[in-house]
Amino acid sequence: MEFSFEGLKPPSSKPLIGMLCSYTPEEILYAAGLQPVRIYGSGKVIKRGDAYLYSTLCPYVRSIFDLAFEGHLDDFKNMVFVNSCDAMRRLYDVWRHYIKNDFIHILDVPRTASEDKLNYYVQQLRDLIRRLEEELRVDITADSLREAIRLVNHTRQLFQELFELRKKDDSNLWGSQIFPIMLASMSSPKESFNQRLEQYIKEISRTEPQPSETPRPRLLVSGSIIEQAEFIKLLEDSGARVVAEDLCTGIRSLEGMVSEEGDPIEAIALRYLNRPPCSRMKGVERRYQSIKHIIEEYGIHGVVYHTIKFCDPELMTYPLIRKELERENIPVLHLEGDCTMGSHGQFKTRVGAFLEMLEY
Amino acid sequence: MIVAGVDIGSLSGETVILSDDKILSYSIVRTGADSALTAKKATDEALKNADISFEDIDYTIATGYGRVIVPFANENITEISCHAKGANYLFPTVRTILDMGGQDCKAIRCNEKGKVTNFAMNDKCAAGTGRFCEVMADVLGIALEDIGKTSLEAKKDAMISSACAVFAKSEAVSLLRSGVPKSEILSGVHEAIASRVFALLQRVGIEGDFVISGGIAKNIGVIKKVAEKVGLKPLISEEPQIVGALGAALFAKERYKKG
Repeated sequence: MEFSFEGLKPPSSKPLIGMLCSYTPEEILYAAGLQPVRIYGSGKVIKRGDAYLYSTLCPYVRSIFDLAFEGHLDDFKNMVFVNSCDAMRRLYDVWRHYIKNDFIHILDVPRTASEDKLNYYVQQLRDLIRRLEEELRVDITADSLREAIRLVNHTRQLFQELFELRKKDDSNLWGSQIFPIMLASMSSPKESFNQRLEQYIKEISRTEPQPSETPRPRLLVSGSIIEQAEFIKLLEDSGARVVAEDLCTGIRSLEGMVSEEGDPIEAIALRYLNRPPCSRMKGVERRYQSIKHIIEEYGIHGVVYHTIKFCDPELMTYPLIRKELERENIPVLHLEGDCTMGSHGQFKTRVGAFLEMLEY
Repeated sequence: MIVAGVDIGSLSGETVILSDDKILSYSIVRTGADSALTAKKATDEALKNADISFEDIDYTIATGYGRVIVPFANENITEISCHAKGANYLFPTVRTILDMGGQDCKAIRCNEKGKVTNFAMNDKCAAGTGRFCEVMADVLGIALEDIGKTSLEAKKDAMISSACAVFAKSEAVSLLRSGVPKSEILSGVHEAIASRVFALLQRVGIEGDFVISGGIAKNIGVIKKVAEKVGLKPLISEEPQIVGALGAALFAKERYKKG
């Protein structure tokens, strides 16, 4: 059963707004009548971008700047940044200076969900709304926010159904098949995407699961951002089945609903600060608990921990997570990538040996 | 039952032929640009040494960096699993293996059955590999097989600050120009290699017994330095370069028996 990606392009009737971090509250952007689109890197060697950002900075960030500098992101007249990490803030700095936009904003997302941080974040969201209203001459009402919340929640609800299917022992869904759908969910208009996903889930639940030829180890891929489905395919071509992705382009960004009751802005703030965290959030314990939860729920045999070169938050988190996983006897393989396919040849031997050592 | 293991590495190719549990013959050839051809050359030579023909082989497993392009292999298994398997056959008490190959280095931990429990590999870097030794031998104008022995004549280590093959090469050249004896330069180079692989070993944890396999195991200079750092006497087989191919042959035997 194939998911059809055709015609999921954003409509030309709506102005685009680019986002680079899964902590960007899409609900507010939809409520403003904008079309939010998650921007992915080129996966290619960085050209001119390297002259403006130092080369020991996150390759995802450098690739994005390269794309913008080369004019590939000219359709994005509006941009929302998040102070996700230091590299992302540097991107905002050079972007503001060299790239022309109608609207550019950086959102200060706190690193914990304590009450004072929550109040602060609500204030940040109100500031974003005020700026959007004033500068783009739009109205963001409680009603339009509620409608946007329902829309984005629907996407999350549908993914939850899909994840339930992946959790089954006899699931014959491939990670390399599901992963591009998750990528698309963050860069397509939710209205048409939701219809497409609903249809897809209906069709795959109708087809009887066929027992796979030989048993395969079930993997969890953990890390920050992975933009290339080829990476997931490499793991599966080596003999695994990828059943969960603890990535900002994976399940952790699609979990947790925004409450449809009460003040919509507070509800949005609550969801984003409490969703499964990435390594930019404070406290490794929360991250580890969410990984452990996935391991139990999805019947994981091994974890592939993917870090991006020079990603300080992720490289700091990894040894702590590894220690916890080893204590629970969960095998983990660390791979370091640079957002291109350049390392994939080297990965093959490591992945092959890792799968050979797993018990399943 | 006769089985074969073929290990196609970045610099050399090896074939081991087993008859039941006994090593019938082996071969070591230099890798050319064509992996399939290297595999054939190595296997033909091993067949000749054993005085049998290709048809006599019941099952073949390929390993090493060129493992997927060995056309006559029934299956392929990574060299990490194969080195553990081979080392376990030669030294049943082995728990930690350091494989120092042509283009990479691996620290491997295994259990009493020779099954891998953890491993670490060097990244995109030739430091501490066979290629690195080749480059150094070439710079100093000493035959590769003599660099180990020569380094032992050194009274002290020349300071090689970088373990990067490219930088270390230019450091060696300037040391040579300033009149530092070749033995001291080599000893310094071996010290740099040993520090590098020791860090790799620490990533997986070192537990005895400790085996070194791969071509560099033939370099007495490196072995001595590694042994000093690890604090364990490394076990080295008579022909450390065929451990991967031996492991592959042992897997071939198991898989053939299973049908």
